[in-house]
Amino acid sequence: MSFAYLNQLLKQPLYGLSSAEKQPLFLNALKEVSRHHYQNCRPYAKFCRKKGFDGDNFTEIYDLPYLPTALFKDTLLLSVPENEIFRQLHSSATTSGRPSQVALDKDTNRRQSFCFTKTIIERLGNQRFHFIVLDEPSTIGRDGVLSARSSTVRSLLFLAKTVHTCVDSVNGGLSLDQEKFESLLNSLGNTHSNLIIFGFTFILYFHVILPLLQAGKTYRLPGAKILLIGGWKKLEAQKVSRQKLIQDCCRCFGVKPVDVIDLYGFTEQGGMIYPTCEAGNRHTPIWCEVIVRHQTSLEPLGSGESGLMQFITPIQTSYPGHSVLTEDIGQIIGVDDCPCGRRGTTFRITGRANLATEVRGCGDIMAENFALSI
Amino acid sequence: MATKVTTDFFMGSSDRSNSIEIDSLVENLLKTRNALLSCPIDGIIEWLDAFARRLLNRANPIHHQFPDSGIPYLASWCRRSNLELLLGTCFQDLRCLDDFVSLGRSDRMVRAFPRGLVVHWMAGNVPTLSFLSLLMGLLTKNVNLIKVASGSPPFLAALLKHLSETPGQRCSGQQLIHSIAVIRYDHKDEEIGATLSRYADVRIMWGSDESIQSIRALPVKPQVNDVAFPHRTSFIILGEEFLDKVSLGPLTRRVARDISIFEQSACASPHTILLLTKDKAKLADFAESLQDALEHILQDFPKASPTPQETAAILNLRARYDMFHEAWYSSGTEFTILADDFWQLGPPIGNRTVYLRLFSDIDRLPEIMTPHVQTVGLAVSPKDFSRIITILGAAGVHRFATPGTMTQFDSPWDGYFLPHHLVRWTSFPLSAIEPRSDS
Repeated sequence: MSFAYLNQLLKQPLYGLSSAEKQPLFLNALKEVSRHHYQNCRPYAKFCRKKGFDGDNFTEIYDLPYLPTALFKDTLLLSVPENEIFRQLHSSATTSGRPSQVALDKDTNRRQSFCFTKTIIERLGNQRFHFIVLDEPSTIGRDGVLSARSSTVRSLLFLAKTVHTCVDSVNGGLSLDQEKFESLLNSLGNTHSNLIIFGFTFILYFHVILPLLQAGKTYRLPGAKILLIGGWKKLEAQKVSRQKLIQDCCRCFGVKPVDVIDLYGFTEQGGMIYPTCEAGNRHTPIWCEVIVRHQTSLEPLGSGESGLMQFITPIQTSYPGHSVLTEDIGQIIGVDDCPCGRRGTTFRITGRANLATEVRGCGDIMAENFALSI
Repeated sequence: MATKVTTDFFMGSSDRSNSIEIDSLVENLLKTRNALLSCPIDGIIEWLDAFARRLLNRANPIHHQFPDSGIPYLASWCRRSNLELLLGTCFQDLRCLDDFVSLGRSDRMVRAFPRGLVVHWMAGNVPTLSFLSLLMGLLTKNVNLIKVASGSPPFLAALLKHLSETPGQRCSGQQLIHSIAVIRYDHKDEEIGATLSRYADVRIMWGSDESIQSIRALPVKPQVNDVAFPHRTSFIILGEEFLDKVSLGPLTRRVARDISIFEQSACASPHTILLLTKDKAKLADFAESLQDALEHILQDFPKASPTPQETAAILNLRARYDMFHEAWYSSGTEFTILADDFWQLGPPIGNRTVYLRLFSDIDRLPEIMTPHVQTVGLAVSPKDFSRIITILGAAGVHRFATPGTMTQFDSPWDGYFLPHHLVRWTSFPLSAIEPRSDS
């Protein structure tokens, strides 16, 4: 299938169109892709028919059915023949212990790479950086089935002039190789504007920043960018807020908050990446939209109201991941009006509700544990 | 050692207080033992009956304070007729709680004495249970210390405040109320748990298997009596004769009530409905009728908001069942009905999610039983009823109930006549007080 509307959409500027300009282009591409999934993924078609949806009979994005991201933990859905799949992505499974799995054909993989690359360059600048990856060396190696972590690290390295890892596995835990880290910093001299320190939040915080700060060790790296992604669920569990993480980042590395860039994305819609902008917000690019839904009624909510985040994008054509409802809580901040100048829907992720409760009931249930028993 | 706790209710006051030493708290409670013992059981029942009347008054502000907490149900529990039935079932003659009685024996007299201090570890899932658990301890004249879940609302303390304001006729309500304390502390604090446990003469544990195991591991007196109410789930069996489309409405309304009350987190909440028929059309009719009933009952039992993870689990199930099985559900996350061909119970999901499954062979029921089953709601023909209660009773089910009444606390519960476990029996031979005929 050619996906003419989708290809046309991908040629548009990332954040350049107003919402009104974007909507018809986006809807056409979405209908095209939705129809494709309906015609080529039998379970998805049955799911849609149950909702009176025949693939493209919608005029508003709110009317497009959505799949919960949890579905991808148990079910491998395909909208292309199995022999066209050349890569499977697995999530890190930090919350439920069960990884999501999605299958990519070459076209989807290419589009995901394109979208990812374009978004990252737009935020970081089109130049080469010295990358210090705060992770194990294996994360920049090659493997058949990629973990989401190593896939993410590798996908960023197209911007790398040099790349080094500075964290080692020690007795089953992770530990910063401080000597190597400082030696790398010294080799860069006093110019840090082409330095990116990249880390998954829980490794960066618990295995690097916290030990350094506890040891009274801080650096002055003005102009360097600290790039964070994922893993914040583990920080939440340890009661470390996002603000605290950014503060400690700045204190440890001597950078400004604007240079701490937090990336948000999820495996079920690979390639979609949402960096925080200079104003601390996230933006939907031309190929994506976001809806916030009420946690009980599931009805769409307005700006400023917190609820479950639904992401819609037509770029996945190998599996019906074009409209997914995540377990993340967030809110829409505005449309086309962010102080940073980017257009599109502006949103923030505020976290997940805390499930931790005390002694649960005598008829207690563990909703998340149900799936594997069926 | 930090063995201080927060009190919700202590010394007759519901003012929350921090930092009370457990030793001092228990010492104060134990001072009331003699007053409790000397209070006639009929006087305690009379006092609770008066409390029930106060609770049933809809003008009582507690109804507004805790609107969906089952206060009318608790009031009905405290009525004299119910309490006499409860104790009569356990002890035959209620006077055995006040004095030595014969209990039908011609040679010995017996008396049920309180065991002493009953410590109740409560779960947070069903708010009414803490009061009902306390009632058992109070009616057996024990001193009661209730540890409520740390995040739970102060419902029990509010009830006790009203109880403390209820005057007693033959017993001083003030004296009785001083024998009760409600506390909360972080359940991970093993030192506090251990201190409480050492004082307990009876430990009543409500909660998950894991939490009960951790309480059981605490140090105890050698003679302590343990009563545990661990993880339990329940299901319903409906016979074909009850599944006629035209008469489904009343039945599905009762089933919807069992599913909706306590958000399906009670031991007696059903998670699976087994339909004793091979007719798939009857399943669809039942599902549609139940869908209407669950929608309708939302007016009386509004849905509590699920967490994002629970929402994800519900939506995941719906999507999978839409794709591979059958599903009926509300537009929001209020309720979900799932149907498949599996032969098993549950798994329990909660949030008003229920599985419908067909079956035709009653003899196969033990295959799906787990050690966790508590209650089975039954609406079947008399012949099937008799077979099912025999088969499932032997397989471990503790209780059978009519649909619509499954979550009503009953005695026995979870296989226990609870008051029995809260007393110790003392006896003497009648010959000891008869005049000796020795020459």
